[in-house]
Amino acid sequence: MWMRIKRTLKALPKWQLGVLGIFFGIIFLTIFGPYLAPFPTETADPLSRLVPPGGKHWLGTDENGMDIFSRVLAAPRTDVVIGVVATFISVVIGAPLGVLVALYETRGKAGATAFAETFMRLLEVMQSFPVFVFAMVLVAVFGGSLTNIIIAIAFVNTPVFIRLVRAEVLTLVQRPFAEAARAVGNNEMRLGFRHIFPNAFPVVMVQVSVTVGFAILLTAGLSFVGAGVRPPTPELGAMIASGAKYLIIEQWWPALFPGIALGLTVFSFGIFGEILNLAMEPRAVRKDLDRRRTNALESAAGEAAAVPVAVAASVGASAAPVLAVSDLSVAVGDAGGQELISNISFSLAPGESMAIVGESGSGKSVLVKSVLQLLPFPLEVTSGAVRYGDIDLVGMEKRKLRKLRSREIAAILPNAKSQLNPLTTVGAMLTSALKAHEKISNKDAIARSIELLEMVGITDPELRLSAFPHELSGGMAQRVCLALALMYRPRLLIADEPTAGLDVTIQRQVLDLTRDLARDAGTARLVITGDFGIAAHYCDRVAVMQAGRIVEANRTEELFASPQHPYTKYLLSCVQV
Amino acid sequence: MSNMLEVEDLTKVFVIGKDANLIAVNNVSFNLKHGETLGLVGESGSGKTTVGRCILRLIEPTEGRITLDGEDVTALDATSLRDLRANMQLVFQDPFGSLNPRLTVSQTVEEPLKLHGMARAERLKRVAEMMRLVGLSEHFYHYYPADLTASEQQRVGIARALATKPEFVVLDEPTSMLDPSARAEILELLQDIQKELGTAFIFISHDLTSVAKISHRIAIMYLGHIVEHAPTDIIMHSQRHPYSRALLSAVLFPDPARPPDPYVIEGEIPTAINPKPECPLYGRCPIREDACRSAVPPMVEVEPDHFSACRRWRDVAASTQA
Repeated sequence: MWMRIKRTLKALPKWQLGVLGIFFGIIFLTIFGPYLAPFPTETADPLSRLVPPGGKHWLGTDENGMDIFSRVLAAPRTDVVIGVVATFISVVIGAPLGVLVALYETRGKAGATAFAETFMRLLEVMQSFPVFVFAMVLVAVFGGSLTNIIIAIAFVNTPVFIRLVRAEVLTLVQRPFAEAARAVGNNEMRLGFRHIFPNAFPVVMVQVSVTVGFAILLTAGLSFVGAGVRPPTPELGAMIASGAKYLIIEQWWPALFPGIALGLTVFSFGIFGEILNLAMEPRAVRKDLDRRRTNALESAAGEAAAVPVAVAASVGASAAPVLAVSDLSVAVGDAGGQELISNISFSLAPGESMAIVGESGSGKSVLVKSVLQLLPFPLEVTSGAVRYGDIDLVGMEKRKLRKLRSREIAAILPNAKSQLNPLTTVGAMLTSALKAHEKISNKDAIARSIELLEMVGITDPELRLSAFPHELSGGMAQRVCLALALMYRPRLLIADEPTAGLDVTIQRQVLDLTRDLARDAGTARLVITGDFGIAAHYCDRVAVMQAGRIVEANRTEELFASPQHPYTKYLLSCVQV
Repeated sequence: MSNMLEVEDLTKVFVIGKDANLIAVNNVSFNLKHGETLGLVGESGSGKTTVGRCILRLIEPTEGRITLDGEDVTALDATSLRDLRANMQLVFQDPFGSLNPRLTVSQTVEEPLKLHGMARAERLKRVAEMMRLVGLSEHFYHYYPADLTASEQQRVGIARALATKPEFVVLDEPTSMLDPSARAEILELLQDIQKELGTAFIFISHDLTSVAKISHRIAIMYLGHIVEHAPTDIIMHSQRHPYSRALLSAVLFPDPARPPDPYVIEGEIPTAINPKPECPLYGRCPIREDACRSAVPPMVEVEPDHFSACRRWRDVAASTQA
C-alpha cells in the first residue's frame, strides 16, 4: 500500500502534486473548516456590510456583514458533503445495476436483448431531461432540505453510472480473462463482480471524481437560483448568488472569492480522480526484470568481444553495397538514455538478401525503424551511419527521404490488413500511388494496377480493383502490400515479419512470391524475423540479434552448420525438430 | 486402456444470418486416453479452437455427444457442469490477456481451488505445489500479470489450469504467442507435468512441429472436418491426405540443408458458410476427381490406427514415397 502510494507520487508531474495538495486542503476544510473560521459564519453584522478586503476582514464582508474568509472556510462542509454523498449513492446503486444489466444481456437468452434495450432507452429518457431543471423540479416538489438536494443529485447521476458500467462490462466480458474465469468454474455473478467489475473500477473512479465536481456545481447552481441551500448556511453557490448582485457596482469581492473556491474544488476533484486511476494500476515493484535485462546486455557484450563478429563477405562482394549500416546505435533521447541497439554494422549487396533474426526485445524492430528513419520520439540515433549507396540516411532532409523511401527503398510490414486504408479500394490505392510518382492517365493507371495485381498472383485482378481491405484475406492483403512496395522495382526491400499472422500454407506462397519478384527486379532484401525457418530458406545471410547487438552473422549455410556464438547455439537448440 | 474422453459426431453451427449457417465444426469424432496427448492441427478457420471450447462446453455444441469417464458432458446442467470444471481445464493462447490483471499470481492460481471448495490450509499447500511444478519461485506470489514476462505469464496460466488436478486440459495454442526459446521451455514443461501428474492434453495448434514434439497422436483439421488422424510418427512421415501433406511441406525447418517440399496447394481456405456437401478440400486439391464432389468423403482406416478422409489416399502415399 505505502509502496504503491510512494510510487504514484513519484510518477506525478509537479503541478498535479500541487493540485493534490489543494484537494487535501479542501478535505481538511470539510472536516475542520467551521472550527477554523475567525468570525461567526452565520451571524449577520449590519454595521460592517460590504467591507472591502483588507484589515480585519481579509477577503472583505458580504451584504449581511458576514466575513467572507470565514464563510469560504466553512462552505466545503456543505458543498463537499452534498457532492460526495450524492455521488456515493449514485455509484452504489448505479454500478451494480450496470453489471447486472450487462451480464443479463450477454447470456443471450430470448428477450434479454429486448429487456436491456428497453431499460437503456428508459435511462436515456431520464437523462434527456436537462439535469438542472430536473433537479430543480425535484427540490421544488419535495422541499429544499439537505436530504432532498442529495436525493435529487443522486437521482440524476445514477443513470450515468449504470450506462458507464454496463458499457465497460460488455467490453471486458469479451476479453480472454473473462472466458478463463468461466472456464475455472466461476458462476455469472462471481464473474461479473469479482473478475470484471474490479477491472471497470478505474473508469468508474474517474467518473466519480468528475461527478463529485459536477454535483458540487449543481448544488451551487441550485442554491444560486434559490432552490438549494438557504442562507445563511455557508455554501459557495448561494454566496456567489448573493455576491453577484454587487458585481455591477464594482463590489467584486463577495462573488469572486467563493467563485475561486468553487473552481478550485471542482478542478481538484477532477485531477484527484486521474491520480487515483494511476495509483490503482495493478503492478508490483519488480526490480529483477530490469536486472535480468542488464545481465543479458552485459553477457552479450562480454561474449561479443570473445566471438569476432566478422560479418561474412557479401555475395556480390565486388559491387558497391546498396545498404551499409555502420556502427549504428540508438538510444532513448531524453536524460538517462538507455541504449536500445548498440554498434550495429552490416552491409547488403545489390540483389542480396539478409535475415535479421532475434526474439522480442532484441532490438530488431528498432533497427528496421532506424534504417527507414522512422524512429518514434524520443528514440534517437546516437552514433553511426545508414548509408544507402553514397547517401547517409541519418539526418537526411525529410522531403528527399520521402522520395527515396517510396521509390527506391520499399518496406512491407506485419499485419498487412491493418496497413491498408480501410476506406480505400485496392484500385484507388494502386492508382493514387502511381499518380503520385508519374504523370499517368487514369486509364493507364488502371491498366498498370491490373498488371501489378497479376504480378503478385491475385486472381481476377479486374474484380479485385473495387475490393476494400476488409474484403481481402490476410494473404491477399499481403499481396496487395507487395504490389505497392514493388511497384517501381526498388533497389532495397525491407520486410519486417512479412508473414506474421498468416497461415502456414499461405506464408509459403507469400514468401515464395516475395523472393521471386525481388529476384526478378534485382531488389536486395532485408528480412526481419523471429523464425529461423524463414532465415534458413529465403535468405543468403543471417545476422542474429540479442539485447541490441548483432552477436553473430554469417552466410546462411555456415551459420546453421556451425554456429559460433552461445546464444545462436541456444536459439537453434530451441527450434530443433 | 479405455478411453477417458469420447467425442462423437460433434457439430457446431453458428447461425450468422438468414439462410447463412457457418459450420465451424462438422461431424468430428475422436477419443482420448488417460495421460495421452492428442494434437489438433489446422489453420485459421479449421474449427480446432471451437472443438476445444465445445468439449469444455464454453460453447454449446449443436449436435454430438461428449462423454468424460462415461458421463455425458453435453447433458449436464449449469451447476454440475461447474463442478465438472475441476476435472477439465483450459490453457489459453494469449498469456497476458487470459489473466485477470487485478489478481496477483497466487490469487489467480488459488481461485479454482476456492471455487471447488478446498479448505484454506490445503489451498495454500496446493498453490505452493503448483508454483513449484511450473517453476515459479515464491517471490512471484505477489506479482501482477503485468510484472511478468510472457513465458512466466503462461506458466501462471498453466498452474491455474492444473490447480484442481484435472484429468485433462485443453491447450489452445499455448505457445503461438511466445518467442522460440519460451516456446521450447513451455513445451518441455508440459511434458514434465504430464509425466508427474498423468494429465491428458488436447493440444490445439497451427504449428505442426510444436504439436509433433509433445503429441502421441495427431488429428489434422480442415474447414471443420478432421481429414486425417494417426499416431504422430505416421502423420509426420507418411501422410495419406493431400492437405496433411501440404501442411507438412509448408513447414520451414530451421536447416538450409532441408529445403521445403515443393508440394504446395494453391489458393486459400474457402468460407465455411453453407458449405457444399463435397470434399472440403475439393477447390484446392491437386489430385481431385469428379467423384470427390458427390459427397463428403468418409474416414477410411488406411492401416491400423491411421484414418484418412481422402478417396485417393493411395495416390497421396505414392507421391510421398516418390
